[in-house]
Amino acid sequence: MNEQQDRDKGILKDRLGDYRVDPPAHVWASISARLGRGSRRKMILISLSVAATIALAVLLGINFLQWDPFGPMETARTERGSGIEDGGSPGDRYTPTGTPASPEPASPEPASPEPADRPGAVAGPQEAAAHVEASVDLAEKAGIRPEDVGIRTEEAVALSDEAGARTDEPGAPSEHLARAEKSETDESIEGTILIAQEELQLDVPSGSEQENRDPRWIVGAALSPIYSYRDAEEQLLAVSSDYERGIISYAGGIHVSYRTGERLAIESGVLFNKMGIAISAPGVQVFKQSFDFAPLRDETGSSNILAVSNSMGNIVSQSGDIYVNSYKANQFYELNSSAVADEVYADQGIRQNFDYLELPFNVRYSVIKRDLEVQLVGGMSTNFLLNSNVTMPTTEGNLEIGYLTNLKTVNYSGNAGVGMIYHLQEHFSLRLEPRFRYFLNSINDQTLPVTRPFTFGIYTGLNYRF
Amino acid sequence: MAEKLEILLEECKRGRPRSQEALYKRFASAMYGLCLQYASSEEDAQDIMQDGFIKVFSKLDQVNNPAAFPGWIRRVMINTALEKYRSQVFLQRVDDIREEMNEETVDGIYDSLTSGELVGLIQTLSPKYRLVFNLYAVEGYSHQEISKELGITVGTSKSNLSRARAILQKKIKKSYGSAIAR
Repeated sequence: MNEQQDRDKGILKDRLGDYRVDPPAHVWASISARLGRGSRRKMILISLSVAATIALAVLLGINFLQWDPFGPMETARTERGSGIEDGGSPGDRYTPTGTPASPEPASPEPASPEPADRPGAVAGPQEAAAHVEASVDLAEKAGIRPEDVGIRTEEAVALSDEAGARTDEPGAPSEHLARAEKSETDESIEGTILIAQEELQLDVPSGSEQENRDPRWIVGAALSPIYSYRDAEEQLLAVSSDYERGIISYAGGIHVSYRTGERLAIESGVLFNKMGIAISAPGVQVFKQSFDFAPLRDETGSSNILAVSNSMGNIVSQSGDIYVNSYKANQFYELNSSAVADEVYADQGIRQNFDYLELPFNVRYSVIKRDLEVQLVGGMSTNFLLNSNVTMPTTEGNLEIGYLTNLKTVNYSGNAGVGMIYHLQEHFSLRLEPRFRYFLNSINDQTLPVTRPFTFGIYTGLNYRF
Repeated sequence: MAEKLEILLEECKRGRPRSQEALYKRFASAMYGLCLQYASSEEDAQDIMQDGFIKVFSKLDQVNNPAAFPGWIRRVMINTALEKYRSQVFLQRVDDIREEMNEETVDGIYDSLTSGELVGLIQTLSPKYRLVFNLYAVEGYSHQEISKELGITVGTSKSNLSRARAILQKKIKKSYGSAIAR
């Protein structure tokens, strides 16, 4: 028998070892096209990467340049402090560059009998007029009527006009200055400035000032129950959908986001996702012993590696006692007549679990900015497969019966969701965020049909802004 | 000849399309014949051929010795075929169960068949039998090596080979019965 087999082997090797057939011409055409496409794709990927990097650098650069941690209000406060409240010399105040102004033109009389120690003193008529107008504007912004604090608009305008008329008279400022100093409204003006500025700083900053003062970074943690299932090719769904169903599991992790504008923010983080599907009975039968349906055993006495293809991969059973009816298990023979389905496990079904580490990159856009902020969320995630196993519920808990093969270790998914952020106080907020995630590539390698898992979760968590 | 192949390989490593085509033409018929042995159909064989040559051109840097190239390219094609059918090694055709029962082996049954006829019959086997049969009978793999390649046990490899032979003999007798001297 062995001699015959060896002889057959020799004949087959001779006949088939150098078996040649010319392939159709279109085979090379396809290969050639794929080779060309490959290099083009590589170029496109490189170009996209460069473009994305440049865009990100520009975006961050713009934000960095615009970001003034003290903001305009802080600058105003500094100006005020260096001048009026500090009792500095009048010439130090209200100069555009912040450097001391040029001394007044020579005059027989001092511009002011008490130049340095009068808090209400101002540098000159133009400055005084501008000062009055600014204070009126600030007061109006603050919702304070000028009349309430002793400023009469007419006076301010008259003072402004008069200052404008005297612009070309180099010797006259002292007269106007004296008048300004004697004005009863002057101290009220300064008081108004202080009140208005305090009001503005504390309660009603303008839009750009508010933006610069708001915290830009948000870190937080979120947890969600998730429903996970899969989408697959139509012919595969026709076979497997009767027995497969989605499962409820969980996901959670930390996230960090950076606000790039008034409404736009970018977000990343690290999330753990427990996903999977369930195969229900009668799709699954479990037998008491592996050799119940593997009569031909290897040297160890049992067939200890059995695998079942289903829509999510190949289940490799460690114990060899599982049989999935609808997917044609790998038993090579019909069941032994003595095979006995385990009464305990026969109706339980099995569950395939996939653990993924998700690294998201999302863009968040605030459509409503109030105490309850509403954001649209979209982006992509890279998902790294951490672990896969197959479990079966038993009376003693979940029994791990195998693992999955032919799974890709890196997958990409698209994310979309609606974020609802409730601001508890200045730094803390609560997050409630329904989010949908769909795998962009097949979870399986190319030996199995295309299957794309998806998840839906409602993430809740706490955010901290700074 | 060896020198020419060396130059051709160097040119292919640089991505020259003309050299790639020349290399393809040199090995195309042998590799397509190999793909036909492992495939279920001509369409599958063409798919394997395409995927295999893409791998060849993308991994050509691994070849340092031109003399080893013919063996290497054959190995790449076989691996590509195994990848395509590996998952199906575990599937069972109902037809196979019926056909594999109690077949007697016949001496010298392959003698009267041409290579093309043999390949045509091998293609009709289910993947789990076809892969084991080709790896063992044509490539000369041991059952130990086959078990590692396909992720099956040595016992399974042996039984698959035995069943493959039995099914082939039955098909040969059925198709070419009158031409075979018993």
